[in-house]
Amino acid sequence: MAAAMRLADVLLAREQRELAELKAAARNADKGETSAADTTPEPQPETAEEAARRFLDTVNGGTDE
Amino acid sequence: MSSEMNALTALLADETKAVADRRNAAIHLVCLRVEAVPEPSAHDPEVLELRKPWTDPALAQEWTEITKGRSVNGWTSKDAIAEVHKRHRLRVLLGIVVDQPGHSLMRLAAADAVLTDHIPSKHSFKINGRTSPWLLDNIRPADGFKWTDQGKQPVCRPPMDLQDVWE
Repeated sequence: MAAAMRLADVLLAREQRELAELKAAARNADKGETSAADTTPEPQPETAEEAARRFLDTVNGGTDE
Repeated sequence: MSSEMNALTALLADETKAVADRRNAAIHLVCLRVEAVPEPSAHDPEVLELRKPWTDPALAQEWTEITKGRSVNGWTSKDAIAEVHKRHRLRVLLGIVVDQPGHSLMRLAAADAVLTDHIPSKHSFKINGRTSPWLLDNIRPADGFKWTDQGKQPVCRPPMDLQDVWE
C-alpha cells in the first residue's frame, strides 16, 4: 500500500514536471518567433520581495511621480 | 522580519484601508513566507527516502514499463530536492491555513496558493470547483483523524500534507 501510494506520488510529480517543461518550451518557442533577433538578456523574474515593494509603493502613493 | 513584511502586516491590520489593498497585502505576505523557505539539503531524510530504489519487484517492474526504464533506482538528487522543497513550501501554506487566530485574509490567500500551486487539475477539489472559502470552512480539527497506509492516524499539527487539513 505504501509503495502504491509512493508510486502514485511519483507519477503525479512526474506529470506535473513534464507539464511545466512543456509550458516552458512553449513559452520559449513563442519568444523565439517574436524576437529571434533580439539579443537583450532575458529579465530575471521578479522576486516576492520586489513585488511586495512595488505593491507598497503603489499603495503609498507611488514613488516616481 | 523585513521592512516589507512589517509594512504589509500593518496594512493588513489597518481596517481603514481598502479591502482590496489588504487582500493584496495578505497575498504578498504569503508569497514572502513561501519564498523564504530554504531548499533542503541532499541529506534531508525525505530527499534520501525519495532516492531509495524500489524494493517491491512487482512495482519496480510496473514502474519500469511506465517509464520505459527510467528512474527505477529512485529519484535523481535534483528532482528529489525539488520535490521536498515543494513539500516544505506547501507545509508553510498549510500552517497559515490552520492558524485559526490568524488573519482571515492571510488564511484565504494561503488557501488560494494551495489551490493554485499544490492541487493538481485532476484532484477532486479542482473537479468540484472548491474555492478558498470552502477550504477554510472544511478544515479537519486539530484533534481529528486521517486515513493513511498505516490506518487511521491523528492529524499532524503543524500539518505535514494535505490529508492533515482536508479529507
